[in-house]
Amino acid sequence: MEKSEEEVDIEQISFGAESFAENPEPRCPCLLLLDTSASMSGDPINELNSGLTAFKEELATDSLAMKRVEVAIITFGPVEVKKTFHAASEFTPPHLSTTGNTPMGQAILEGIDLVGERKGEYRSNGIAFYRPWIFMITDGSPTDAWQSAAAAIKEGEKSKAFAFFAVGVKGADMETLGKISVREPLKLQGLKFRELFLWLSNSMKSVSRSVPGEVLALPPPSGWAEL
Amino acid sequence: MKTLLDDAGLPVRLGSTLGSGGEGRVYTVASVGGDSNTADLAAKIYHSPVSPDRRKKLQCMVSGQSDPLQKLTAWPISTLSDQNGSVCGFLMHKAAEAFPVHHIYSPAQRKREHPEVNWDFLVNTARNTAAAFHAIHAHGHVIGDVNPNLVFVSRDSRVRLIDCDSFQIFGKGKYFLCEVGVPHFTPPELQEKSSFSNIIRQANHDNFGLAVLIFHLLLMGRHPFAGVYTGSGDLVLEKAILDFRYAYGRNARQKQTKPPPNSVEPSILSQTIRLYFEQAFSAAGAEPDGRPTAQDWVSELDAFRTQLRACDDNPNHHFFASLPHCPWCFQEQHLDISYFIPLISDHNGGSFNLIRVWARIEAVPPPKSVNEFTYPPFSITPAALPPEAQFQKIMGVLTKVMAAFLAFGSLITLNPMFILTAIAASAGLLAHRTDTNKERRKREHRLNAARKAFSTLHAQWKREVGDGRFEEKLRELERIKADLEALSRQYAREKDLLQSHSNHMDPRDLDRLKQNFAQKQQQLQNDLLAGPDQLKNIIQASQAQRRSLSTSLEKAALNVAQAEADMTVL
Repeated sequence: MEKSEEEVDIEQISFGAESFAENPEPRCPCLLLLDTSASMSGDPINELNSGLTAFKEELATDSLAMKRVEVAIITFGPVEVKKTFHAASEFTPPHLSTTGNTPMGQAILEGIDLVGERKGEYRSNGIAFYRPWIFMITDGSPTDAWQSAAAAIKEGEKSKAFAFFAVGVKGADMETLGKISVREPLKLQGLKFRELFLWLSNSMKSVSRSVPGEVLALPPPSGWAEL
Repeated sequence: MKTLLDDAGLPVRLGSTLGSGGEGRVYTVASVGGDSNTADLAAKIYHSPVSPDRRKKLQCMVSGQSDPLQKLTAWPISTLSDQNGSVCGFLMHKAAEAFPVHHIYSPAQRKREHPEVNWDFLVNTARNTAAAFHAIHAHGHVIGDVNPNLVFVSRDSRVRLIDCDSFQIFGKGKYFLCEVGVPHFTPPELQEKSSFSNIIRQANHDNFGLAVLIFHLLLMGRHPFAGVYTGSGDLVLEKAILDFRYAYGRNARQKQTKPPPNSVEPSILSQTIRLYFEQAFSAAGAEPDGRPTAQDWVSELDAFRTQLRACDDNPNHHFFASLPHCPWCFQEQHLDISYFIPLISDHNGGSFNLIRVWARIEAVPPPKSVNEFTYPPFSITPAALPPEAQFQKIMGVLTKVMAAFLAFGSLITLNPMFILTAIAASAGLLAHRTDTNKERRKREHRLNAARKAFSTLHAQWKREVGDGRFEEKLRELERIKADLEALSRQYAREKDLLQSHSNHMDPRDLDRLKQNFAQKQQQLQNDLLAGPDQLKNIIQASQAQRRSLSTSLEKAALNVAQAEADMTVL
């Protein structure tokens, strides 16, 4: 149990405003895959941006979730990592604008890689974590090959490596989304991004303090999804 | 708000919402029976109608209340009923100005929000938490749902347990069960239960959660089972608990787990505390009454807190006196992690708080980016050449044509007349050059002067109107902060030097050194305290400068453009 000076671990802790040593709470990673293709321009992207702000504000009401939830954002297309994983306390919502097409397949695969990398950092730093969530929001249909992404999602869900959720905004190709996501994709009512992100925030709060054995009781998505 | 009645039939008026959870909402209490002296009370009102079982549980808790329970928990004082006489909630004591225990066991949040909290405070809090657990167990109750939000800590390290209506209550010969629990604080023997709705919890179960909470408090927010797993695949925390893989335990290696890199280990604690952790997290602990009890923890932590001492170099470092070195200095020097930040007593009322002062400095918004000066649109007509230069210019063209003609002529004819005329024409060409050159030099000079004037003004603009001076000041404040942070270490070094160089050290030398450092510290602190105002002044000055400079700068830019245009006609 004694640790002499010679044995000091030389493993480096990753630099960030808060190191794992300063915040060793178990992490609850949440990756947002956000469609910023041209068809999202105008009201949809504005509502999405204000939804992100609401997400942060809602998380901020829970000091435990602030230490545990980590948010990352990938936008498509083109596929771009907007935010790597950081504690919610350090998450500042980006201002997204629209560009390009919808390379959904590539975005999903990069997202799965990003989650895998973060899990590696948790493991080597002795940080416990909850099952990561990958939460995709799109209003179109993939403009690239999505079949390998769908296979990766099936594999990840099966091995409980992550949970993948897909939300379609008006115009989304719900049929293809259903083939990509193992969980039934949900359709957003109008532009209720704010309600969607409040729900996401509350779900992350419950994930970060779940009760054993119980199937996680998420709040019903009735406030924003067409059911 | 509808009127509620307490057990004595007095009307209870609710105030503002304190918090809302899955089961109900907690309010402040405006008055009870017209008496508004109710600042220490709160009321929980359930969202949905109260079941008969819950009503009986609440009534049982109210009738079983005692002084220790009232002091150490938010125990129901009285049930609250609506107009129909149905129980819809209860009254309780409120934890005034208290915060959840995870706010101080998490190093980052503690340093940010409670920088005055040192390790001795955390040891005290651990002791008080154990005492509150003991009070519950002594009454025959069990907490059940031990979690990071259970314990509320006040500024003097006293604690109060909340969410008492979820506790397992023993009364009137029966158990009212606790049906919830958080996996990370659930003992191994209950990890695989699919539900808590039929399980009678034991104090020994709570004692697992208590040991986990104490571990978090004493060892910088780490979970005892969150280690680095050296086996293959993922090991979730629940499974690590189930398998007794205590990451810091003596059997950790066999269990393929090791402490996280750069963690603070139980070796900084007393032998007994280390044994208690081993016991609480081992298979033997999972046997009936196998773990150290809350009372065991109270007595051991009571003994332990008298064996702490403050570090000579950093008085805010408290540690177990039997250790050869200060573990917090070790962390700072070798791993660059400062768990406790200095709050040296000083002339600023003893309350200088570097983190807060620095936060105030960082809160000053930098000036809007105005580094680039935007030019107004110019319309420029090049200045006409003076008449003689204009005449010369025309003459110049003529002489050039003539000279060429004459030169050509003299070459083919070799007629002396031609040659003489050619020489005269060349002289005329030269004369023309002298005149134009004079004008060109004049205009070049003007252009250079205009450019120089502009660049001087532009540099001034960048410095005084852009973020130049703001940035300069910020860098200076950063240097001051670094100096201040290094000061206590520097003091320790010089003190060592003083002591090692003189066998008979004059205590007055030490006093002088101390005084010298106190003065330096005072100066640096004052410099930092003045920081936010200085930054704001810079922004204000830059706004004023901007107005006056932009007129001059516009004029200077116009001069440059004019001078450049004037060159084109030559």
